[in-house]
Amino acid sequence: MNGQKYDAAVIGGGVIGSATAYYLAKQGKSVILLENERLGAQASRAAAGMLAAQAEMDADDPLFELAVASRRMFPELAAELKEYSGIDIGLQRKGLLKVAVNEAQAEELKRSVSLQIASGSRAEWLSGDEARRLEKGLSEHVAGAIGFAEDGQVNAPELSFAFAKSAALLGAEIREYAEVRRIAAVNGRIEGVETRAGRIACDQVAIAGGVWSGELLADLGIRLPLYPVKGEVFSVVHSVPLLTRVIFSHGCYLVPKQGGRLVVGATTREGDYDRKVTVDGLLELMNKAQRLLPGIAGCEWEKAWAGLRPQTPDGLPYLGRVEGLEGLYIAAGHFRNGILLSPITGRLIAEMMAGSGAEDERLRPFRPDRFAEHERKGR
Amino acid sequence: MTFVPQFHIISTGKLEFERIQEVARRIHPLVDAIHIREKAADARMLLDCIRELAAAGMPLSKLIVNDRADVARVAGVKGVHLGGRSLDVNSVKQAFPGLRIGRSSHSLKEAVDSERQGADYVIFGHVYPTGSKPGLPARGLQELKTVASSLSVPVIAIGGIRPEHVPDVLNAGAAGIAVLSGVMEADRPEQAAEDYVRQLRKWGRA
Repeated sequence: MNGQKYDAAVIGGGVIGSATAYYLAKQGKSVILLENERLGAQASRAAAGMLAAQAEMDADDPLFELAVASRRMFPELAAELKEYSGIDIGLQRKGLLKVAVNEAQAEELKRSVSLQIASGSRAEWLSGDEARRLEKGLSEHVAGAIGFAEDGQVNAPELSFAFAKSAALLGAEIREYAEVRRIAAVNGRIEGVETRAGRIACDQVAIAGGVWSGELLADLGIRLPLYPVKGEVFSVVHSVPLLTRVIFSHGCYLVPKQGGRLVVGATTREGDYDRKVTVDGLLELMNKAQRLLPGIAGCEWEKAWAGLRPQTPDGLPYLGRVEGLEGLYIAAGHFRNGILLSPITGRLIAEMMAGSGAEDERLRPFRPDRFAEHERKGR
Repeated sequence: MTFVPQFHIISTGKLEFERIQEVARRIHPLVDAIHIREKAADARMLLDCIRELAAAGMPLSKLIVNDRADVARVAGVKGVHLGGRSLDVNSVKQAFPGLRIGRSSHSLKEAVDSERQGADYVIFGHVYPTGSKPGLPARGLQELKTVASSLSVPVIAIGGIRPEHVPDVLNAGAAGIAVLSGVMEADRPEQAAEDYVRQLRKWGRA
């Protein structure tokens, strides 16, 4: 055990923890990033990397504003991370089509377009034929689509690594295989964290452990309900790209990567902690994908994988300070929007930890203690 | 603020209405809820049983009927507790607004599903090996901890819980306990209930 004391320890080496460590290190803080296994080994690696701010959320969603603000950070961030770490996060801003495969879905999407436009965002309604003119591989089943010119994608594992490596270059220490067993607090103040390899002294702790964040806090008597929603994903390759834009539909998305790769996701299995890929899940995805993009049938199989999205009872992440324990912060529960929300989350949490982040009214819906009273009241 | 964990008693399903009534009359001041879980009873028998309980001074606000939302509504009790073969939470909520709805769950998947459907609380178990579920493996404290830390609604632990287990069960995050034979079949049910209550008050988290 060394005698060094850090300003902050970040628990969790996924995209959220790595982004938080990055923005803390940029402030000149001494930071240690602690990861259970390897960096970006869980949900951040499994993600397809869509930046679907507008496609994922309606304009009245409390997350909408944060999602759009986060998406706006990517171009500059991509250049910055490349500069520090040399890693290309694969940012593509070629747009996204959210497609309808029947009339009911088309009507719903049309309503969503007018809401988005009314809120000042860019969105465009396309008929089925117009959508097929933009993406020639789309099937006759596509009854219409919203074109989101500003949504796009990145390579999720690269983004996660680029945050961590850039943080390291800015002076952050990174420890893998450093499972945190306990958060040590005395008189309502954070003193440090205990890992298998010993105690690490620090003034502040940011928990970014995805779905595993809740149990760590339960030991402190803090309720942070979180559960896994398993998502299965597969990828195929084709000699020429079948798509240029991301295709997003109910229960299936298609994300064209470099080199003719196509990532297809994702199933939704609530409460599943295992990361097995099932035949059932793949069949469901393949059928949906082929219905949207018949040409996928001729692609070569690459691989399949699964990840655990961290979900909360109200579907909103936990972002902010934990009342009653000085120095403890949380950034977890981003469900399937962790990649998109990582820049804004990292920056906001780092600002709060520096004491410069004013108690923003917009962050109220994300308060980590919003379920704390529930148990006592709910008799 | 002190948190006093919930204490639920569940009838054993042996149709011994006289026994249920006798025990309920004695212990109701000590508990938060008594569940009438008599699967072989028809609606009429359940209603009669509840009315006799009420006549004997048992508050309806502490009674919960298993499975039969219709009986719960007609009898005017606090709620209904749903199991694997019951109607789904969503439908019951829509048809019987105002009833407090609980649901039994034996896995994280079921527990998450219960909360998503709108259950007001979840009973999870069985935590310890129990005679009520012979041959089925106990879920254990670790799984209870996972479930309790996954939901925002209260998770009540069930299954083989004895008074000495209370600290461990609460430590795992349970909002309370549910007991069947430990009270209903005890030689001195009042004293058995008191043993649990003493532990629950002692270990309820501050």
